[in-house]
Amino acid sequence: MLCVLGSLCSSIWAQENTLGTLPSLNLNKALKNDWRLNLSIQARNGITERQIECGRPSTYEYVHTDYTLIAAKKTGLNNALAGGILLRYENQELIVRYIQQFTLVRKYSAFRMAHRFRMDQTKSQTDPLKYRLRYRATLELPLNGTVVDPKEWYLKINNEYLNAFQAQTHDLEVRLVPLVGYKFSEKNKLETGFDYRRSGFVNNAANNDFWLSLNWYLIL
Amino acid sequence: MKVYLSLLLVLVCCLTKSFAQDKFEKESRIKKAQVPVTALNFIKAAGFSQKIKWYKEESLVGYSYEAKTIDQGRKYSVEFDSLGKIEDIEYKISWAAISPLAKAKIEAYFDRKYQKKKIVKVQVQVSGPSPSLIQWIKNKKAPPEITTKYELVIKGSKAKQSQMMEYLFTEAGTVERASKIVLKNTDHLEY
Repeated sequence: MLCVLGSLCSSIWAQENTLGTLPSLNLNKALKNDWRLNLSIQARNGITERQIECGRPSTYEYVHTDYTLIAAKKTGLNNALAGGILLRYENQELIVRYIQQFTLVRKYSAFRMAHRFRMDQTKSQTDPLKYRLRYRATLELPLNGTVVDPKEWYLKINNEYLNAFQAQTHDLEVRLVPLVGYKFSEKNKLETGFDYRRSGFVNNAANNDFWLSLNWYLIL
Repeated sequence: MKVYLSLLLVLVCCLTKSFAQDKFEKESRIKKAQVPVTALNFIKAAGFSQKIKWYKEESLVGYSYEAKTIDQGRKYSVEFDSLGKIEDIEYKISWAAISPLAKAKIEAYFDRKYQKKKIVKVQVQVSGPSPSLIQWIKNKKAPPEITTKYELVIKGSKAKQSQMMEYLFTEAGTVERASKIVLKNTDHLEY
């Protein structure tokens, strides 16, 4: 078992890797006529692969901050259509991403399951336009009882598949995000866990990203 | 710096507000040892063979107990009050299993109320004296003193507005109670 784990780790570290943290603040506001607004601020801080390989002392580097504003309209009891914009300032360059998504949430007797279908288009000053088609499944499992009530813990697992198209190239990225959350109240939740991202499936240039996630969700 | 401090202040205010305004309602799994003896005795007498899962439902007005189990392929939910006295027993059935007369009456009621509807869940709810309920669980035959009702969860739409509702109907299909189901927030599942 240890040998398998060891060889898996060495195989992962032989590829391109990133380690870091992904704290995010998620503010949500309900509007009239089933509209909702979501503002997300997510900072990315990482230790680059070069630093790890060269054995230099690891420095914790600020990478960028994403500001995302999304407006959503409920199209049914359990589904919503949404559109928004992400702004990122990185390496003295402004990156703009347009987002469109459809979400569907199903309640089962002891858990909830959400399906998110998302498209986005990323525009930057230096790179060609990038299109992505994404699907994410999210499982919310209460750790006490059959629904997550205030002052209770829960488990959340995200599994996302991203198809990226840029200048006639295609890449696939898979994300697996297991999180443990605590619901302080109906309007306040905090989650933490790992965000593992693997890309480069198509061009055989595997890239592994490991992030420590900390998500704070507030309803205003 | 001032901007960040202002943002932090706004967040702290929101957080305090969110802690203060929420209604306290909680369902949690409990151990057998925390269940009143009266309720335990009822379950023992009923002779359920599978594992019993116990829950406590707390609200600002009080609390109750619930036992969940599966017996002969049926999912049972047995409700007790805070002292452990039996309130009712529920089990899931299909819409097709309801008597044709009651079904027709319920259908007619929903047709008057909604343009479109989808039946999400149907449960039989039985209540009555404790010994009769035990007899009913064992024999699957309802003695006359047992009251049978239907609890339906439906998704109804009218004028492009959808809502999830819970209805309680008598055995004959007359509506007794209607309550709107407030759906839990899904922001953390969508973003």
